[in-house]
Amino acid sequence: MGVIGCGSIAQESHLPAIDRIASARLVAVADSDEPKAQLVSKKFRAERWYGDYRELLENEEVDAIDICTPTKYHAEIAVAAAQAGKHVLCEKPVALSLVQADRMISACSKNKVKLMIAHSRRFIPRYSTVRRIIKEGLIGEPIWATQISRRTKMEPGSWYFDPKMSYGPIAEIGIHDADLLRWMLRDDVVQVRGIARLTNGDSRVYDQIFAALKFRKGMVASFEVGYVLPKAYTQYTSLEVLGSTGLISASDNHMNVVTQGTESGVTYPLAYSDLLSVNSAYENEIAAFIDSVNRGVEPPVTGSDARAALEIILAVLQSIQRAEPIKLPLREAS
Amino acid sequence: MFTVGLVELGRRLDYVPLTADGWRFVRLASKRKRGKIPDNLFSNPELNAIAILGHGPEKFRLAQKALMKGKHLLVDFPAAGTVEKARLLSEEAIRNNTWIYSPNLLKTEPSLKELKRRTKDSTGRLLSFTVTCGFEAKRNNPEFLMLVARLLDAVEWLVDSKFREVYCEKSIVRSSVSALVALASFDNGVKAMLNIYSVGETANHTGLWADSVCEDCVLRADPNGQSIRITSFGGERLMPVDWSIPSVVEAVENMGMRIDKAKQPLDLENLQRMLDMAEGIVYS
Repeated sequence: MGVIGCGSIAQESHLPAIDRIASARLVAVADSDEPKAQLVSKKFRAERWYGDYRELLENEEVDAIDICTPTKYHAEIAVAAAQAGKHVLCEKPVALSLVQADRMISACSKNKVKLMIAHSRRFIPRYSTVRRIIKEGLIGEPIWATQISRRTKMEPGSWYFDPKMSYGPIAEIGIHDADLLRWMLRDDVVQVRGIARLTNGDSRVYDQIFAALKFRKGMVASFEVGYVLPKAYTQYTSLEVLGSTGLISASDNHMNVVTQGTESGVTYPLAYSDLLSVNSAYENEIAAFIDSVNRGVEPPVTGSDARAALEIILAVLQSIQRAEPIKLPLREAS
Repeated sequence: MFTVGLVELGRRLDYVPLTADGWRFVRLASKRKRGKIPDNLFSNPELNAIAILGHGPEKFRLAQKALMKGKHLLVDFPAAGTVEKARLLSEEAIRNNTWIYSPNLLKTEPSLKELKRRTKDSTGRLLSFTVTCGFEAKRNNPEFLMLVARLLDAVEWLVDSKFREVYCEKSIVRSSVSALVALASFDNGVKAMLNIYSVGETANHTGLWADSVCEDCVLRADPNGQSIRITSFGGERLMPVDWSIPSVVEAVENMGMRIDKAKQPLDLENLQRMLDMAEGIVYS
């Protein structure tokens, strides 16, 4: 594998996961920041490093690439990789626009290489268990679901908050929620409504977003994304799914009746137990991608899946701007 | 000893003790369905007051009957499904020289009260509020509307601001279970997400949790706090939280403290606003 983009998601999640997968070998890394590429290459024992991803694509030892760059560069790199005959694993969101996503899907299809988008939450055991429970009919027919993703306030310098690079938390984290809800409920979204606010005066993109989704079969869902938590409170996710005969709740800290997080730490004034913890998602995700390449089958998260999640997010953004519900599919592939 | 006749309509988040300091409950009926109310239901001369908790089809008639029998009345907010009916109750109370008190018992539920207190004590402004609430009434029943009105009233109290705009999306899956999601903006800039579901009258499940996200702290109230859980609607009721004063105890004590004051406390204007908003959400 070759990893393109040596930022935090690569160093903290993808590269350690590749290292743990027996069927994977890290051949090379690339980053436009050459010293960083060199450093990461050494840290993760890559055979080569490059300052230009195009050189990595010429390396014949590389069967597949893993794109870990800011969203803005996904389409360009994925299309070039497909043309070079490399299979593509790409961080979410698939791209900044549906046109870009379509180009990626088309290029991979034309060049007969796999395209998988790294919607990592699908590979967290908690979520796959919930999905299995729904599929087995243990809560009857799904009616409603809600997902919350809260993160700590980010420093304004992050590319997440640069409108030229990303649409911000709604695209980088909200895309997880959009994908997860669609995946859990096994249906397509036909209408969305979003509201948002800027809680951090330095931010140039919305850092707190709420969305209501209507599905084709009549289900409804909601999600909340916010970079609003105090520093000591690293992240919080929560999922609930209601069916005709039962309810599933899968949350990070449901054992606590009252939770208080402050800059100095998290306390549980009326606690029942400690936080739950899960995470082998990246390893599961990359292993699943490699397996799909080796067996020649469709990856578990296709380009079309990722495009559908992106479309939801773009519709939420449109809804926020226009202050009205937006119907899907979007008229223009913007 | 102040004696309160207790009528419970529907399930409650916390428990109802039968005795407390200076007063006691006499359980008269619970989960009443439509039908004739026994003539002697409120005739026990030992009863100083009647408490009607929750919402059911007989709520208005029970409340009216209690007042006509000369009992003081504690009736869960909203006092009735329409302002006209609430006004009739108010007039009945005046006619019988009794006292009618309609507190929102969500506001005295221990964990929500704690959430409110800590949100207020926070040194940073409130950014958002999220609540998920399950009701046992069917969505097309008047009781569901009252439950939604009660929740909206409690949310305004928790956010400490009035609703400015509410958008709602409802499930249309053919089932006795239904759900709606609402996105709201408040006058103070706070945004909120409200998830409300109905599991029907026969299902044995109600749920509630609420989050306040402030600039410097995050708070969660979860009266039924559990880990990852699957709650079967046919299963046992979740155990109530028993670590603090139950909501009804505080409400009865508040009532006892105010009962000598002459002013009738029904706020019909607020009731109208909450019922209108609930109607907009449920029937739009």
